[in-house]
Amino acid sequence: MKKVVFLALSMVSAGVLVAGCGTATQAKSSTSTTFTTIDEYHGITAGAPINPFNSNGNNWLGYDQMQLGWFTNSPTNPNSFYPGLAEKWDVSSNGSNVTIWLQPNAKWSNGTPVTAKDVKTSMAVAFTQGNAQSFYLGSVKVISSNEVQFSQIPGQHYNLFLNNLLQQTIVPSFEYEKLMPTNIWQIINESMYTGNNAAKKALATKAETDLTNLGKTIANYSPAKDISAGPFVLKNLNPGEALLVKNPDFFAANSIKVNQVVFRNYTGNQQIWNYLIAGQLDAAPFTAMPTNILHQILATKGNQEVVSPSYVAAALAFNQGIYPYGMLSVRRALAHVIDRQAVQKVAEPVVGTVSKYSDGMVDSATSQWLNSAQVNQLDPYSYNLSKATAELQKAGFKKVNGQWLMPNGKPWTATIYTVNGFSDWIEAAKVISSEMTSFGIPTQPSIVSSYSQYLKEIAQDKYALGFWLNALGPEASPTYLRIYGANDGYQVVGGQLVHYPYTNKTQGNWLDIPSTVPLPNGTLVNPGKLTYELNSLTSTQQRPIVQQLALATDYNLPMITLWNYINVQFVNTTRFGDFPTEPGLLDNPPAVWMTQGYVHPKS
Amino acid sequence: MKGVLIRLSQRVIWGVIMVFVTASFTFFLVRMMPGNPVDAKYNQLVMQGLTPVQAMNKVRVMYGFIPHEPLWQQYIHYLNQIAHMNLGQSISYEGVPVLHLILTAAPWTIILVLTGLVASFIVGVLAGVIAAIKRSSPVGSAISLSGSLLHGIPQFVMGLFLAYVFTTLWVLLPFGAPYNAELTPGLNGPFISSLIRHAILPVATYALSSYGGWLLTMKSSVITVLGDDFILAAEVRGLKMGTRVRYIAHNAILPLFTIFALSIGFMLGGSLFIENIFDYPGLGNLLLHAINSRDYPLMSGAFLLITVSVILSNIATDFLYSVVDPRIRR
Repeated sequence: MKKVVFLALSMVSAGVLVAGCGTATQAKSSTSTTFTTIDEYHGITAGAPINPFNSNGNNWLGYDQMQLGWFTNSPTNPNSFYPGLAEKWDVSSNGSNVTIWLQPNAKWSNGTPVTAKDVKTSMAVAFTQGNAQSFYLGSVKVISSNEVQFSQIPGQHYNLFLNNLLQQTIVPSFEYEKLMPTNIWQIINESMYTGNNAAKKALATKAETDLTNLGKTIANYSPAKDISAGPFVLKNLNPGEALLVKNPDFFAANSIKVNQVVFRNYTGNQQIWNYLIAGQLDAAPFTAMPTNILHQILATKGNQEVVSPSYVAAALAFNQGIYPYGMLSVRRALAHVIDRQAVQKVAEPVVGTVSKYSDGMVDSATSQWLNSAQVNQLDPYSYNLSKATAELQKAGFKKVNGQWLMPNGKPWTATIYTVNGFSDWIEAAKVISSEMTSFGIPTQPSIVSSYSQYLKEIAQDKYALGFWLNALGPEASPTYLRIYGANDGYQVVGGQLVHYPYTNKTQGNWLDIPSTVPLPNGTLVNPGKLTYELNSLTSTQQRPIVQQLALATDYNLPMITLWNYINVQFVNTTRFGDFPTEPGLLDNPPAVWMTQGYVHPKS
Repeated sequence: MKGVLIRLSQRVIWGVIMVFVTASFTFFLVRMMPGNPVDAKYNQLVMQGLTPVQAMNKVRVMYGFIPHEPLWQQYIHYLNQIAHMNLGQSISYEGVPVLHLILTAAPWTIILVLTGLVASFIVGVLAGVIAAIKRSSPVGSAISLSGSLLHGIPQFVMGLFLAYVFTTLWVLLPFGAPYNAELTPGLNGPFISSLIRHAILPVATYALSSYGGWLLTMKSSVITVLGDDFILAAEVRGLKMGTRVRYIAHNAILPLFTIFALSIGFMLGGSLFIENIFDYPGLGNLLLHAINSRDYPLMSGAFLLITVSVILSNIATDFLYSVVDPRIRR
């Protein structure tokens, strides 16, 4: 008996050893055309439905989840797209009507053609998810099996209509149509009523509730298998990995040189670092990491860093309603006190670049919107303590025993608010506090427990100085809405722009920027109104307004832009080559690169 | 027999009361944690680049089913659900029953911890006996030193170390998944081989972290038994060394048996860090996810399962101990 047990144990041990050490290479991609990657925003949830509308759905954008087009992330042309399921599109001169033509060979992975009916069903689903309402989709008309016409709600001229439309997920009508009532478009139309007829208003409320309930039903729906119109289709999945194989029915299957894709799950940044250091990921998103880890990753054979612009920046914002930050000299003095180079070096050394200007945009957008003469009018607010001193003295501040006294005679102290978990903001707050304290303004950083708490309290005017994500583009309108939108009291109510004053403590005006501000040449402009206008103008019409807003923002400094974020991702060129270099394409998932003919396995 | 049944029923009644108290305690505790699922998801979406308004709209649609009734009503509802073996629906895994999530994750934890526990127990106990008997020799000292060193290293440090050495420095073993997704699950060689390879590092982490504890406890227990009169008597009577070691081990292992049985109870919640480091899809990972996303039903369900397993193992230990050690029955 003992011998049998010993033999059994020996066999198990041998098996474990063989299994463990026999095929070390299996720890890497198992075939030369298996592309291994990670989706930083999309974990793998075994058991979740293969449904793109479920928050944990096992579909991957660009791979087995398709859109009509793929954005190029252009700040000056939001209608610039790479073709997706739509081969081409046409926009009316006022941007309110769009016609799209589907790819002639577009098919689902079961061989069924992708038709205009699928697009119309997908737009109905978009209404149930609250997406179509956000870009004022009014009607969808099937012209032929591959041609669809879309119109905005009458009276609306939303300039991102095409942009939003092309980015809607397209699903097969034979899977999703059955989940909706046959009168779904009647319900949608009823929900869009905005008039004063009481009966119709009641119908609209009921229709909205019906759509919300339908949205939940659709989000929970679990198709029997993955039906993809994209380059890949899901084959296997476990809680740690998902395997997608090439879809032979994909309209651009000839462009796809990758046979299969493995997505790896991750529970922490450490895992991604390990995968990257081991050279196991063919493409990976950037993850926050210390500089020494970055160096280790780049030392791995084949690993390369790919950088493209990111349309978001970090800024130090002022609540001008709190004394003394309503004084322009104070804001300008602080801009000269803060050494942005030092701040960026400590706070965001890897995915940040020092912001040259505080014009409300990232520098790469500035260079596209403004001409050189206008750029020259922007004050870079270089680190200069003498200028800072002069600005403060001009405003009546006095320095006594190394500390600045405000014109009201009280000592000037400050607290810079930041958010728990935002490590770059926290580090920046420490550096800036130190610089301000050295300059004679005793300053301390304060960390708020969560971002939602931070937003709540900043809107309640609890912070005089706080960090803020600004320049949230690439489009001009959302970029300037970060400053001259709801945070400055501007809201659209019933289609009209309304300005809630700082004294109204319920509507979120915490910046308290004056309604009119001067440009460097003395002209007065209303930045809230100009920003609102951006929403309905073409790029050409937007240009003079963006230029005015940039000059006004840099001149009046509602916030100091500290650094621009940049997109850093990694590719490994050991197993695959021909990675794209176009910034707009790089901002899309790797499957879109493949669709465009990039990413070839090395022989 | 009647006495045994009475004792068993007493234990079961106490167990039920304990489960009720713990379930109630965890119900309120998780809801007292700062933050809520909407805030957690909202923060995540904002981090992903959505504007605050977009993020808020999205969470409203996603989390529209979160209960908003008063806490006491939720509590009554929760107790009613538990009575019907229903742990409710997960918040973060939209609409998925908690019981389904827990039952899917539990086997992975059981595989990981049970294998690591048994392996470390066997090796640790054997090494403990040798370390005690040879305590004056270099071999004994070396074994004791290995136990002390490994006992002092926390699980997560051990896990990170093994992960770095065997998956990054030398790519010998896979990690980050329970098996290779390219293989079809079933009773086939490649799948089983993949399953074993993916489990080696997490199991080794658990086993190495636990080994020192077993070794040191066993060594101490053996040394105590070595001083007992019956060992001296056995030696005087000229019993063989092997027989004496068997006597020693049999008596010394009793305290370890209790710890081992209790460890089985703690098994379901005992590999939180390991599962997280290796992205192993067990209960530990599920619990961490639940905490991060403030998924109350999932947290309550996972805590409840861990509690029930600990209480059941306590009851089982109590009874099995009387089987292993006849003196208890007197």
